[in-house]
Amino acid sequence: LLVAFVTGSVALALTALLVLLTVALRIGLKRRERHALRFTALWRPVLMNALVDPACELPLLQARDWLSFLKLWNYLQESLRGEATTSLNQVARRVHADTQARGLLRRGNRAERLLAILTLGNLRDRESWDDLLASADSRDNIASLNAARALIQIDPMAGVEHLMPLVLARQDWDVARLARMLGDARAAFGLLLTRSIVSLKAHQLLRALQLVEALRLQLPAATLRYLLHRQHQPPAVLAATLRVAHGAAVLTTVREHLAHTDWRVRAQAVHALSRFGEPADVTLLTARLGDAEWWVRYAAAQALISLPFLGYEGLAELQSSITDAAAQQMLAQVAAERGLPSHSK
Amino acid sequence: MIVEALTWIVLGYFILLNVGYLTLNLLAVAALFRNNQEQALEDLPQVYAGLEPAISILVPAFNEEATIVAAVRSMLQLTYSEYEIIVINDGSRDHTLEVLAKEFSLLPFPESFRGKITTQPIRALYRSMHYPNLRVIDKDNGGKADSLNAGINSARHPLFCGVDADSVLERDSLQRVVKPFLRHPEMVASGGTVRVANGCEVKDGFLTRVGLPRNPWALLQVVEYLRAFLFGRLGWSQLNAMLIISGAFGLFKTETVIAVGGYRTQTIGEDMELVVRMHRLLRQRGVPYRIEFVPEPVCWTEVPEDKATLKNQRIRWQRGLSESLTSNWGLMFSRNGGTPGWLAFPFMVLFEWLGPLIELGGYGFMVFAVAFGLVSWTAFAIFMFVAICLGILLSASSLLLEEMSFHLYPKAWHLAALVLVAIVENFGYRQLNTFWRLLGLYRWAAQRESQWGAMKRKGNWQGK
Repeated sequence: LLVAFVTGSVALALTALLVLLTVALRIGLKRRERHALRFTALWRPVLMNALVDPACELPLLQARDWLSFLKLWNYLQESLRGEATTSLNQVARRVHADTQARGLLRRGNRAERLLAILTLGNLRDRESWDDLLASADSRDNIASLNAARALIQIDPMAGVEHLMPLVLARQDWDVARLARMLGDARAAFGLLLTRSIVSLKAHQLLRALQLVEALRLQLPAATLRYLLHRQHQPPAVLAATLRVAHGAAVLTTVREHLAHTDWRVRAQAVHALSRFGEPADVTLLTARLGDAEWWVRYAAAQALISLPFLGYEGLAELQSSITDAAAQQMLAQVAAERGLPSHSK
Repeated sequence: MIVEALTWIVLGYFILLNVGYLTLNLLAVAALFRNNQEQALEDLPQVYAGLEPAISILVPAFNEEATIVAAVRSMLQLTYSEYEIIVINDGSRDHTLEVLAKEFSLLPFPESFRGKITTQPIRALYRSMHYPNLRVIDKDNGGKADSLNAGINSARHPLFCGVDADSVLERDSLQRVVKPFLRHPEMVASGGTVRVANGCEVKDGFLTRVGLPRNPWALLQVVEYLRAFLFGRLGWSQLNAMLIISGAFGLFKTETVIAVGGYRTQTIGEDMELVVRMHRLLRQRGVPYRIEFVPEPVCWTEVPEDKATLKNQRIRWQRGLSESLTSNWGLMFSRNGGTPGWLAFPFMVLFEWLGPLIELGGYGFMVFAVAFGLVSWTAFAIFMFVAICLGILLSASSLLLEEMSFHLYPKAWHLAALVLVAIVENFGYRQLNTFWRLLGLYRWAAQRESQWGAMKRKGNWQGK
């Protein structure tokens, strides 16, 4: 009974503590909100003015205002483009935000480190290169991805060179975000990737191909053929390769994949033909309208309707010549999606 | 001697239950703390490159003529790079289809329907003349799960999001809930926090002001939802062992759901059943996967404001839980079961499924023992003291989590009211809930037929 009573009493005491903590958090929050409002009211006009006059007079920055300053400064940096960001950088250096951010990166808590990484990237701060490299290699996926971005902002070529292994290996780096930040170093990334892509392992290759597609890079025909012909290539990699395939030089290889056992590969081969197929491929695509897999039939119908050389009459003729009901239905569906009249029987 | 042993068992059960929840709580605190540290990045202007995977939003609708147009209109305004909306009219007996057709200029669409999952017959398919990304499937009545399956069959995108027609979504809800999919290629499902919409102001399908309901039943559920989502699901998510994603808003990998057979139609807890089955089958097949919870509030839902509706809802939930667990026994203590099979599933069985039986049995036993002089009044009082204090502690901790993270209820009186509710709910409401869940358990055992739950909607919070 004593144990039970003590348990209940501890729970009660903890509850009181939690309620007090909740109230304290609310009071703290309100205080921070008021301070942030006052700070923004003072500094936002100053920073906006500094965009046109970087040498303008700056108010004194209190020690307790550093985080608020860095948040506001980064917000403006991320909202602006071009020369305006250079003016903001000049202001930041005048108030020694670079030194402050370097200190936060080394000694701050996680939230402060994240803010510091962001600041140093936007400042293009070369002095913090080594610290940012270490952060990019850390297990914290948010800190590492942002550090990678900062490195690319500072020096796109060197950044990509250092980061290439991480870009391909870190499955926890958000691909969409990665593609956006690599956009600043597209050429450098394309150059390095083309050199190494054939030697990558399957999981790295898949990621690399996703980035090739996102960045609209063009792989050489020889590389594409190699990737499509390599033995025991997983279907997901084949499909990803077909998504980035281009040009007449790989046409024969693409056609070979129309009969692949995996429907994802067949569907992507069809999509590839819709991008760069020839008039001779109409027969092959028409055959795919009878595929067992819905997605392949759908891709074939989309391809046939998109082909520039088939034309309205050619399509009408094709639609009326098809006897397979599923194929007819699919063509009718895609025609309706594109707002075209259907000529199915 | 027996009485003493039973007393200890009952007391031990209550303590173990609450220790389990407090552990989940600690895991949730750690996750929210990390989340808070990233706030500086979240506050920056977000740029979306359009590389996020496309999403099919599936909206099952049964007799939703009053709310469906507003719901679809708000969904059409979501901020996301590429998505389609598929409304599935599940043989409504009202004018759901007609209002949709009129409002969105629907025309019959010659779709080559993909029957990957068997469903009730499809009557017709329509597409909006004004919004090419809006389609409507009209089908024979088959229940919510059957409707979702029909939607999956028609979905064009790699991810689908099941949404209740009466849910109020945050404008950026898809952007938030898709994040786990961008970070982890093996992600198969993610769910977001659902909050109580009663007492809030909604205009044009979007939430414009957060408030607390005046109705006491709804107010009690605000704290319940905080508890369920902020530490229940978030805690399990840290262990990759989350067994439920709310049917009101959940994002799934279409291919994976088709591979496990889609939603099970013979259940009322189709949302939980699917997630538990995904855990079981993916583990059985050795497929690496992740299921994650996004703590940010993404969806607001109207909760019952009267006792009868609430009772029915809780009975249905308990039946759903029973069906989900019993049809996936294979997960429990299985060789590849991992945390879901060895921790989450047994926890659910012991504390959520059989919980009402043991809890009410415990209360009953103590009353009996006191009445017959087998246990002293002091012991009984201490038992009640422990049970109630631990309950209050859990509710208070969920308030702390809310204050630590999202602090959505802005006014001081909101906080005061929630603290009061966290205390008051332990004197009767939670016990009543346990009783309803026991009824649900009984009805599941009696194998009554499944059907769509009739929910009395007030919609007072909806702006005109």
